[in-house]
Amino acid sequence: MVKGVNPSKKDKKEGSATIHGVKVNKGGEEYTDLLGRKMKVEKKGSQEARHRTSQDVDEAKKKGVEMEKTASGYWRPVRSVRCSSCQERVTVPKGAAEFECPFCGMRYRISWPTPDQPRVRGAVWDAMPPAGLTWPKGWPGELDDEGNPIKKNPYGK
Amino acid sequence: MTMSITNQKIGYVNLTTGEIRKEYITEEMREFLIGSRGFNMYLMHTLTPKGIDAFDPKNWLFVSCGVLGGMLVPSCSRTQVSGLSPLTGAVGDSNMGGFFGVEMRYAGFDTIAVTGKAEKPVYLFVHDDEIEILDAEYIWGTDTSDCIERIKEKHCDYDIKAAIIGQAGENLVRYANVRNGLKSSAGRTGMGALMGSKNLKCVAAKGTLDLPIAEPEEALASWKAEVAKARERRMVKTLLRFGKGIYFGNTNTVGLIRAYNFKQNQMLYADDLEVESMDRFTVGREACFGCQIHCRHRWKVPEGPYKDHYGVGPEYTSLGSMGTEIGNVSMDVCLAADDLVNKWGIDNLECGSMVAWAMELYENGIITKEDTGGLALKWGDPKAIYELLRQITFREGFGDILAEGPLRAAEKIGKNSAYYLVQVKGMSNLQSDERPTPSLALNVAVSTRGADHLRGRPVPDLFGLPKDVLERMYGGEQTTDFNSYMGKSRMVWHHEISACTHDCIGNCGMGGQPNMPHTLKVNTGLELSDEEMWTIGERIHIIERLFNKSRGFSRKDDHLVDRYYDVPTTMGMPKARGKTIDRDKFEIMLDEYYELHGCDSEGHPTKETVKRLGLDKEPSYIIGAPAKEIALD
Repeated sequence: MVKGVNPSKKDKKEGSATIHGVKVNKGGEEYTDLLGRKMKVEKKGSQEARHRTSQDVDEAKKKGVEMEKTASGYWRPVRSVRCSSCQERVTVPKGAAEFECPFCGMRYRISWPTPDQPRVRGAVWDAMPPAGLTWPKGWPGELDDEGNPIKKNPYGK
Repeated sequence: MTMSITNQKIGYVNLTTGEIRKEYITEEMREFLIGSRGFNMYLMHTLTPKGIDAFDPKNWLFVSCGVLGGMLVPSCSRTQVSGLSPLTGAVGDSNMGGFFGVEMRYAGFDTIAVTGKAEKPVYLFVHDDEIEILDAEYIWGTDTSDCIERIKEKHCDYDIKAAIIGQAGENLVRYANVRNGLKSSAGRTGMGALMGSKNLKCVAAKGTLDLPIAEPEEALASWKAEVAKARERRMVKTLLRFGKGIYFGNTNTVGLIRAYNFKQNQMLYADDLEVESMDRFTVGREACFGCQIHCRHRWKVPEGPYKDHYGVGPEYTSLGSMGTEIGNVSMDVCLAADDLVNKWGIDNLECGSMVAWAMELYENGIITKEDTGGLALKWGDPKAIYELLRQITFREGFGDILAEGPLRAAEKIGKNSAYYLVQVKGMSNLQSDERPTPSLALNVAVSTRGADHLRGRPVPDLFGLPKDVLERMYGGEQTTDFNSYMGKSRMVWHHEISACTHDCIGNCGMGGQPNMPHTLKVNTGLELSDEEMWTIGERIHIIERLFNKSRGFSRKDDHLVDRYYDVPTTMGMPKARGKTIDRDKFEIMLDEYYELHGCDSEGHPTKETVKRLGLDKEPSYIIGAPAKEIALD
């Protein structure tokens, strides 16, 4: 019997992807994302897991989401990248040079190895807090007084 | 059925006496170790006398090609170079892509084992079942690019391939590398210095012998299927377009790289170091033998102060070692520095780390212009960078101290300089910062050859894969959280053993991992199940741990430097910011890792493990008997 690191309560709930403190895996529950939008978790598991059955794929296609099968046999939306911050898989508009994750608000510069395949080139540096500062609560995607997401770097530049 | 696995040989060479022996590889050897890293590690452990210095003529150097090199398999042409490391005193081992190993196989040899020291510079010429020791006076002192051209000219054969050392290897820079082609380097652990200590400039090869395929039709079908599968992979498409530097942008974005030695875990506005910038330098693409991916740029600096520097690459690691680590964000400067270290034959990871360390010492006043011979070591200053690289290569001035590697250099400089090193077992880490990722931190700490990312890189938890997918991969409880410590030791254990088997067949992993048992069977006739291959991987890892144990390494050496535990990260995304490695949790991970490998709490293999893996038998029972005839007393 291998002696293991005792999983914390938080770890035991893993698989329950947590997006900035919001549990999204149990299915059915509503939550407000960091951009203030009302979101609903459709089904248990991550976005990738949700699209794994042929039924799920069909449903996605009916909604107009183009799907592709990976070399490993999983299904995922075409032109998608995984957000390096919240790790959600998100679709990038064709040809976009910059992109904002709809889940957490992180902003990326995008490059295109092929016309249908985006790649996260790097972060939008102006949207990164400087060294030594912690990320403010709710940032990125922090809302202004009128409830609109703050698009500019709160630290200037 | 032709057993192509048994018509190959191991060549043993004693450079002191000039004796040469050959040994046919048996099926038994293949089933025990497969080849390449397996042969090298076993031979190194059984033949290297205890207590010797790495530069002692009695030390051995092993050069091997993977068992699938030159056959109908993509991405399997790597060459393993091994021996007691001059840098660490532990396992010395590194592998490289390119064409050399395959040429050696076509000449009839899977492995060349060299001991002794030649009186004057020599090189080995391996051709069609023969090994010759030839005078190397005409190539001694040349750089790695010049050397191969002169050899081709001398032999009037432009298809010769060679594993070469540059001036750094000749000057015994402890992290000199062995190279073939413009990019492929067995960079880590100072195998170039080991070759230099034997007055061995290179091993050149030219082969025209058959390498029979066991089941040609099935092998061809398997190759086509593997290539078709690889072409569908988004990773392969991205590699084809941008090359291996693609990892840099992602890791820098998250905050998992080292900048300014270890002061920052992210370099803002380093856009120029992202591979998309290579478009202005690229003049073509290049691949290793039999590979459809072409993951390398052939580049040339078109204008400016670094005009006409040229090369192939750059690697992900080069962008850090000659980029962020030393405070440089210019691709021009990075490529020119890469060109220099490649031609001179130095490991650019170690070299970049040493320069970065020196710059941080200079910034903190631990060393001054008096120590550096008037050189101001300012972050990102190209003049300082190039001059220091030159001094290291030719062992001049302050560079002579840095050429000794991290621990010896810190001992010479003193004054708490060791605190600023980022090393494990005396070898510097690559440019990654593992404080936010316990899995990678453990991987770097326990690697048998010192801080390293290629002995088993446990990265799937960075990709946000579902928990159930991770658990199927690793066969135990996992978490998708890369900050967590749970399940990470299992990841490291898994990847280490996988890396052992992949190195045996010579696979680089870039094109995906072939169905190894099937591929082996149809190409070589060797029939091994998944379980048997796993056992061979375990065996190789345990051999490395036994070797390190015999050199005094133990649990105390499987740790990171203090800054990992004490200084939090300051940059990056929310999950990478403010992170340190928790000492207590790290120790628990270590316990778990040792138990998975069948080691005791000191990291030494238990008797039961040694017996289970068949390593308690007389060494010559399996391999290496002719070597004993020619080894130095």
